[in-house]
Amino acid sequence: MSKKNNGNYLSGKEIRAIAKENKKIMKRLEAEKYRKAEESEYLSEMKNTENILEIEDLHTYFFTEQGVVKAVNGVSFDIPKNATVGVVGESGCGKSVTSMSVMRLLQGPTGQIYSGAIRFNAKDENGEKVFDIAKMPIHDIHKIRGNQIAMIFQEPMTSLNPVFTIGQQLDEVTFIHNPKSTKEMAKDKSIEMLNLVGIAMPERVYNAFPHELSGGMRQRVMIAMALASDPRLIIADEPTTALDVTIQAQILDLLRDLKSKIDGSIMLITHDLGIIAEMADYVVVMYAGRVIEKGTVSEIFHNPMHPYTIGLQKSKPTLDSDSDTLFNIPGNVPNPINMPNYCYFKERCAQCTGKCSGDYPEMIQVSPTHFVACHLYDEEQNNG
Amino acid sequence: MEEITTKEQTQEVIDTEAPLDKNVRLMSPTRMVVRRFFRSKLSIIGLIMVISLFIFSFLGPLFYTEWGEIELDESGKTEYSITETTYEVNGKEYTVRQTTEKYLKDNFLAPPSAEHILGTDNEGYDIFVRLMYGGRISLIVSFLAVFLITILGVLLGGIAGFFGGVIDNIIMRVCDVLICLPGIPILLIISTILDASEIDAKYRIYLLMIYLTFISWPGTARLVRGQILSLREQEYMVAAEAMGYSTGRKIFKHLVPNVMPQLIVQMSLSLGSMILYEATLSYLNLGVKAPYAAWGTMINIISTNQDILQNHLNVWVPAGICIVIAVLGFNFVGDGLRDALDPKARR
Amino acid sequence: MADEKIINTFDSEAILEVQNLRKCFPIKKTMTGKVTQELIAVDNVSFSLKAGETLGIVGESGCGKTTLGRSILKLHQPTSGRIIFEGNDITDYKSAQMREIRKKMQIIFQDPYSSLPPRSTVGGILSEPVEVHKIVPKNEVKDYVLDLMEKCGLRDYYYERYPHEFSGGQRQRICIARALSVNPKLVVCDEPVSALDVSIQAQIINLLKKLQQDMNLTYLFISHDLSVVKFISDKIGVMYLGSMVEFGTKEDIFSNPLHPYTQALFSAIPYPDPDVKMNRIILKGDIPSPANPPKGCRFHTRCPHAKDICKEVTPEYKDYGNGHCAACHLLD
Repeated sequence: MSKKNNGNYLSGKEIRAIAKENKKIMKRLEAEKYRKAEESEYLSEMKNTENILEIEDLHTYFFTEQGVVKAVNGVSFDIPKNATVGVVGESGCGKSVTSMSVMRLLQGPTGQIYSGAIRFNAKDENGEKVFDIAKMPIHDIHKIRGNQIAMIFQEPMTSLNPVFTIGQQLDEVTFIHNPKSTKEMAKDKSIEMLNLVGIAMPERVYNAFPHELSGGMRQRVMIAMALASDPRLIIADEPTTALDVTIQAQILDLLRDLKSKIDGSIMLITHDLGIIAEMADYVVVMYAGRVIEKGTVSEIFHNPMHPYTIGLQKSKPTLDSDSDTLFNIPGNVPNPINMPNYCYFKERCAQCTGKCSGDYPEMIQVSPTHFVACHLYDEEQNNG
Repeated sequence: MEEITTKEQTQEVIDTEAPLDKNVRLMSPTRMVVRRFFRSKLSIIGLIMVISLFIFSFLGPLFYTEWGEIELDESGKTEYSITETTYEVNGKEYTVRQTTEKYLKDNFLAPPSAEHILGTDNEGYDIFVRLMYGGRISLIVSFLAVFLITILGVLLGGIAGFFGGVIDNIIMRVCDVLICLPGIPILLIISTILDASEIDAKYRIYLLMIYLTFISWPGTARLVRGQILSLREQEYMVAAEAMGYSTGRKIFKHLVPNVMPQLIVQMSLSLGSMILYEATLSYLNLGVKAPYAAWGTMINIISTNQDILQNHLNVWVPAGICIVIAVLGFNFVGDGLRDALDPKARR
Repeated sequence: MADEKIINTFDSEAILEVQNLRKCFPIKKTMTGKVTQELIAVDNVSFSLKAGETLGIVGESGCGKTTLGRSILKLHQPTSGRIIFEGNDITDYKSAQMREIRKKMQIIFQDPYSSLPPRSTVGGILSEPVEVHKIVPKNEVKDYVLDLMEKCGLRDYYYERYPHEFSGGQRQRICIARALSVNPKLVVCDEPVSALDVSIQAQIINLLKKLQQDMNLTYLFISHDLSVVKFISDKIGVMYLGSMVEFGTKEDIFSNPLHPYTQALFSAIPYPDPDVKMNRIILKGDIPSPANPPKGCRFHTRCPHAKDICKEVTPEYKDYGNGHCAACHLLD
């Protein structure tokens, strides 16, 4: 038997041992998810009332039979009101999982929010109430989900239900979140939304089925559905990755236009730095489940500090760059099951020092808005 | 100068991703399927059931040689003896014939004992031994039928799927017609013909299974055709075409091995159905006829004799249990294989 | 019917020449087999390619670039037009004759996950074409394959492994090795990096460029990503809804895009600098369905400068100097 512990294949015994441990934790977390709780249990206070969403030390784990996958491993960032925050990272860095955690759409029982707080500044009849989404039982999430936080997904081809017309699906949003509305009210609102997203003949699209529309149109319909309930926060998970370049330009233009029209924030998740540069006000760079740098968009693009951010910018070929070979960061993301407890980027870093084999670097504040997690800037911390 | 640049270039080009672990044992797709199969307890139980039935039926009679398959326990036979005595009375001869009947019965319907593990049936045969011999026939016939169905199905379904067009149309219409044939009535007719033509009882069942093959192959053919239609458009088949491979190589080296998994699942599930078919036929007195043993035949007696149904459970229940074990076993194995082959199966 | 003028006469240096290539797929057929409605995937495309060059074909979905690549390899039979490879007109070659030619022209597919047969080892996949085409004698096959694997950045003990154990980038390397195992002259790369992670894309592109230099290959590089195409190509062709709207050298196209579609394509790419305000040309409307293309110039429904003539008459494909061709009424 040449199967080793750190090989790719585990023996049956090890799998069963892991499964047993995981079962206990999963059972407890599932019980918490489905409990009945009073509202007071998950009310909270925002640290800064100018923020619409505060994520603090979020840990989201997937309990698989190979071990615990720490998809999100201590992520903290804020989304201010009426701002666009871009979350950047390679695939596998945990950005989608973060958005799923905020929406509580994780695939249970394997995917669980293990610890951390997600504070959302919700609107109420009486003003503002702050919910801690991580602690809410799943039955109460419908107060916020789809209502005050809306989501736009990556694949427009499969996000719409193929057996209902666009109109039926749009009306449904109004009916769910506004039970007193009538059919005419819902239809009016839907047509208004379709106009808002720039669809030329809303009546025709209202009666059409999803398969009759192109990818760009479907994505616009998705955006209309997200806006139909007047949300305070829109999470857009790679909204243009599956679209053609010219259609992507249209959708980005639309989103920029909407930013000024709606009274809400956008959390834009993507791996394309160009889109971030155009759309975002603040940028959060994630790597292997952690935030390694965050700041305003000009700080990140003109003064990137973390070697990974620098590498990301270098590897994006632009139309006016001229070189013999494309730059790429060597190596790849560490195995998400057995993460080391030193800096995750150590093996790939061009500027690695001796200190990097020690503890994981803390978040160091370089300016009022610019934070970076790297040992290179430890002196700044000590001096500042 | 050139040396340095090529070295630099090699650095940029080499695969810097984490390499595969050198020491881990090779994981071919077949081994992965086997591993996944053995993770499910139900599959292991099914496999044990099937293997024990095989050992019971084929190796059993070699070890348990007390009774033969059609050996009557004649320990209860009737004996006749005739004695004649002649008497003389008043000058006339009188012969008195005395017939003595000693009733020693066939030891039929005997309860389970040390001599007969499960007792005897209404003719006097030992039930335990007949179970073993019956198992042989049932299992052999089922495997034979499934084997023939698979060969026919793969050939015809493969040709239909790969070449398409008119050939595909013809073969599929033939399948449609065959599926519409009513199974049992035609079986009855064939059975009557066989009765009249006095074929040896032991070979009837094989002929009937050939008929069953004849009406069952369309199912497999459709499955194979569907698989080939979908696999044909996979990109590695286009790549094979771009590589310039011959048609034969494309079919047999690339297409057929990928059809095998689904086919094996289908085969193992059909085995269960075939056992039931055989049992049904024998129960209806169309298959194996007495005195030869098959599980269905052993149950047949209860249709005419209510006494045995109620009072002598040891005659017919064991055969029923054997059938259940066989069908369940094959079904567990088939299900386990299907789950093991599906890469997206959830734990 | 588009005009049948042959633009490029037979160029003795050209390794591949495509003349008025047209590929249609039937949508509706009558009972007797006559085609009533068809989808024109590639419409009257002509170009020539010299040995050692890279031609980049760009376009969005529905423009026919994949069909063009496959038709050149005779994986689709062209409906009309000529394909001249190394001086031979292979348009009407049947499969037996094509088998010899297939050694010299190969293809790398977009999806590394489905283009490798799942039940063969890496060694099996790479040795098969070598054995079938008898590239080297039988006893040298394994050494040849190991050497090939090293050139493509695969370690030698991968020989016995199965495709499912590898990541996307490594699988694409295996596909590249497979294509190169028969020593081709022309390699069609059909979006080879679109399905890969951004960081792996750079590795694979660098590998392709290096192999081109080492083995003197000619590439037909199909992609929708302009920056990658700019990096690797010498000539660029822009396609829209089946026709080639602009063609020229890399320098000409990027410094002076003639066709409005090319201009819109360049300006649509987001630029990673927040301070640079792009003068975006936003095209209105969606890409029309290739089964129902607009009359006249196919681009007129979305063109910001469309004139009346554009709705009626298909523009001519003309040379505007130095091989820089375009088809647009505005340039006349």
